[in-house]
Amino acid sequence: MTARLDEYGPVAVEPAHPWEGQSMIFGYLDVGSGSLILQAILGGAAGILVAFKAWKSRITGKQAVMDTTAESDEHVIAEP
Amino acid sequence: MLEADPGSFRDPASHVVFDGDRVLRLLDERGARAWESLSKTRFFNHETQSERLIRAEPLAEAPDGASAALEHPRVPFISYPWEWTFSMLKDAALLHLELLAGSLAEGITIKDATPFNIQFIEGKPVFIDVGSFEEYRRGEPWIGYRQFTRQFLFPLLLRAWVGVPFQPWLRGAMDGPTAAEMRRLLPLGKRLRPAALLHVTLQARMEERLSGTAVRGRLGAAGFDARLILANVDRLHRLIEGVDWDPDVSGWSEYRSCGHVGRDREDKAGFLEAALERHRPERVLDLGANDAYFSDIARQRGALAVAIDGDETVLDSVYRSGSAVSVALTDLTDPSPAQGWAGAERPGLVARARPDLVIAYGLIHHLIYTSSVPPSAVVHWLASFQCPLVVEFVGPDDEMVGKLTANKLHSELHPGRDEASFKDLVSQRFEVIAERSLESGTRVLWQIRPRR
Repeated sequence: MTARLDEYGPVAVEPAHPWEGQSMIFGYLDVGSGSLILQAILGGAAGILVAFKAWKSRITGKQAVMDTTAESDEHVIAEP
Repeated sequence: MLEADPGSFRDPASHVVFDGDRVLRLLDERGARAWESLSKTRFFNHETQSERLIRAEPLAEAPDGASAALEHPRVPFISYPWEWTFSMLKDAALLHLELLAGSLAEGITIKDATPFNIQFIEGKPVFIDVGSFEEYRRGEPWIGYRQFTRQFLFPLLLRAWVGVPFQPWLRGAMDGPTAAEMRRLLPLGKRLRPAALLHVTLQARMEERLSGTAVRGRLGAAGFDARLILANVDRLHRLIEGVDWDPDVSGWSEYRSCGHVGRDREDKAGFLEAALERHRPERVLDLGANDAYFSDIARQRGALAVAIDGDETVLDSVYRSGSAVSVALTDLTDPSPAQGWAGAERPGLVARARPDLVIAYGLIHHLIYTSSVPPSAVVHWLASFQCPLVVEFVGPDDEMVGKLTANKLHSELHPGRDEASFKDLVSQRFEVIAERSLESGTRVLWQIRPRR
């Protein structure tokens, strides 16, 4: 099968549609914390920096957390 | 009256129900919003036209309790990953990655990554779960990554790198091996490959270290974006494209060169065609199909033909040939059972096949002599299909039976193996419509149908 990864052009880093205030992608799966951080590393050099920042925020406790458990389904930005 | 699909319940935003022969997808408010976004994309139109994504037509009015509803064409035959060959799982994995990359380009992502979202229609993989697409939000990682590795990548590596078939594992544990299990399964040399270090060892270690830690929001705050997902998808796509299975010559891959196969093939084809003409079946099950020669005759006559065999080498070859015959890998003495939630989520193979004609050529003697199934039990099993059959009976004097029994004592064999006794057993449950002796003189074909 021929690779058709870039058939639709560059990936929309900013989503094509503004869904501000709407929910996060619905994770009915058990996603696995380690696998999530790993994904940043698998994204290459830029991703390693992202992984490091996310890892550091875990250790230092400094974070801007999107609360995925909120009943409202809206992002909660917490600055402890 | 709507009937719930027992395999579609995990996602509250979208689930499938049946209205007779119609297949409907009911969406809640969230699912309806996601559909609205997906349906407007160039990606959706292109992929449905290419038949890599199943068509979906919105209903003017949704049933009570649903915000919206879609109608899909019915998938003729549902198969599960433990019934797929290596090349089928590989093509399904590549399709999933390509659709994820394509949808991300238009701000949509796929929220899970399971092979159950893909089915094979006329020999081609088709993504059937339109409800899996949802708007991508900046900062979100790929939620399905871990599931993808467990249900696609690790099974493929198991076969390609370790030489172990993945089907028994997936049948035994539908979620697939964990990264930690996979690390133990890989030999040291393979474990040191870069892909194994990243997707297996590192994932296993990080899962161990970070279990239960809230990181999803932290990633977004640290600058995660869709480009990182695409880089990972691209890496996985290249990895999987390069993964190959080089099957050994199996006991059945050379079957076609056996003397009796070539000699009898035309007679058996003619006999089958007469049965197809008489019964005009819509769904034909070819048991012990080998190279699917007879399944293909049924398909050419307009039937949905499902070729079932326990040999991955021959079925993989059928699939790779581009045949429109559906294939299902299973050992007929141990066919895929009903399993999953409540034992109903994934129905057994025979319940899914629902044949109205069964072909059992070159099979019965293997059940009797190789698998030691008593002839009476074989007939009972044939009757369980509740439809006409064409069967080949091979008598005790046949050369092949001689080989199968070379190391068996007479007392170790079940009674009822000779033609007269077996025909007696058959006649108790079936009416014999047609009969033809083959040139060898030790083989006979019967067209039979259940007694009313």
